[in-house]
Amino acid sequence: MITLRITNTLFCEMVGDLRRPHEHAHERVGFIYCRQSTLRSGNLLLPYKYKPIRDDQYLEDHTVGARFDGSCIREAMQTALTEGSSVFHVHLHEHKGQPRFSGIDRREMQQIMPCFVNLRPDRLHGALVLSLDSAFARVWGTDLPPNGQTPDRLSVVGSRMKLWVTHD
Amino acid sequence: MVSADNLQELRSLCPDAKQAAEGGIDFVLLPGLNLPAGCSPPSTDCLLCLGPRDGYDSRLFFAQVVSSREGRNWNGQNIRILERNWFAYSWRVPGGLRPIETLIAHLQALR
Amino acid sequence: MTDRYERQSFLGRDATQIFANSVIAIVGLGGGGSHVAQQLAHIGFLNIRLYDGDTAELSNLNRLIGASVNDVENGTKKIDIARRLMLAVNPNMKIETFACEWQQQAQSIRDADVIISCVDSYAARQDIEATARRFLIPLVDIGMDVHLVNGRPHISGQVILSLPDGPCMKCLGFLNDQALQQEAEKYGAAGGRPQVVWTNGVLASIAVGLLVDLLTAWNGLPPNGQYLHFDGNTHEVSRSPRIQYAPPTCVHFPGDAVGEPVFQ
Repeated sequence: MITLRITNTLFCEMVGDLRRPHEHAHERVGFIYCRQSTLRSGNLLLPYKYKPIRDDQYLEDHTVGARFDGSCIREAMQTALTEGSSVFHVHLHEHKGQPRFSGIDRREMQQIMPCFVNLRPDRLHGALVLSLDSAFARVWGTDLPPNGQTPDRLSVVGSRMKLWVTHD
Repeated sequence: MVSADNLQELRSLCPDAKQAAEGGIDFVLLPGLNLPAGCSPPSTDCLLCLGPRDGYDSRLFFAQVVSSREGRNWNGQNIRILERNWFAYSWRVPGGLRPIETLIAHLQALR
Repeated sequence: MTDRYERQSFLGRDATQIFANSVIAIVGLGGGGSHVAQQLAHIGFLNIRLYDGDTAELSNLNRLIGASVNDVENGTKKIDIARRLMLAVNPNMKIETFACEWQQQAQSIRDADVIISCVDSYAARQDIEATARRFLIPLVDIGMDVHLVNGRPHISGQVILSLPDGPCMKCLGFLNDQALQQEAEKYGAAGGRPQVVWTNGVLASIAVGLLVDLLTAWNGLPPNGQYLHFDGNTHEVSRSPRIQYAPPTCVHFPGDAVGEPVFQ
């Protein structure tokens, strides 16, 4: 079982940051770093830090929402190594309701995720897509399918809790 | 946080000493700390609490109840700190001491 | 067929599913916890963890919901009384019981979505909150006491909603060195703390109300949690001014201190 819990403070910080307009990119991207703990039957992922990619790290490409250079991946990998963290790519779909990964999102994650899984195979890594009031995630790890797995439980924790449960 | 000098002093008694904080209080983990002669077990993981907690200015927690020459009142049972359970006896040590002095003063209770 | 929850439909169309999906841990199944357990069963919660190592005693019968004379004679565990009570309301509940202190099964509490703490000491609250903060679990804490004011008994109680990104019980001044020291000095003193069923019921009901609002947002909660004080003599519940003056974010549990402790 995989559970991902995000505080409402971090959720709002991410949404606020990802909504900022960029000079040429249609979407913004960031990374969140998570601590990983064990549950009796599975793992618990607890984001503790959000880091947006810098404006100068975006590459101009109007065929996609956002394209960024390899330096931000390398920086994220360095943080994962130094801090022993799990890494999640995060971006925003600016609507209300449950977001989903697009085809481009999925292809991009298939390319990015092996970098983190190979670097820290003892950790789960993944991707998070936010909407203005919701979230969806996918998790990768050495013991998980190559195209990732949806967490069994994803929650935003705050004065208004939101909980999404993946049923069998 | 415990200063580098103070941590180094503690490492003279416990080479693997390392620190963390919880609830605004500093703790030093002392893995496999050797206990005074006559204790059973002779060594165990300890956690030195360097802030006021549970009514004590400082406290030494043990991974298990330890028997010693002088029986002690182990009034702290299964206290959860830094995701482990700890045990502690009732023993007051005055404040204002360096961490190593605090540790030694707590261990006096087991002599 | 009548929907058993139709009278609470104002909580939102997703409420029943939310309750069914949530995992709630109740620590302490005494006077407060037994009330909470009963209410959660009625509301439609299905996944419950119960932590308490005690058995029912005669002196519990003034307040232990669901307990009987037979339970006292048989030495029934409080968790089993609560479990029996809950399953009688809804046999579909999945109730996991731990006949011990929660610390002895600490890993099991990590996957709770909310912890309801009905313990009877400041020290125990300190421990539970530290774990709740580490694993980003909202904590609802209740407790009551009876003390003498000018020679007369005064009943007081509190309900605190401690949210992972809000002020903790230390920030709120509820957990403080003085209270912990006084408690430590009383350790071993004979006699239990005064407890009465109606005060426990008020506090438990408020806690459950906060829990439901937290999960459904049917009304909405303040962003930094809640600290409610109950005056058992005037029968009034009021918001403690301490939450107004508490720091908006916790100064004792920083946001990056989550998961397993990191030692340096």
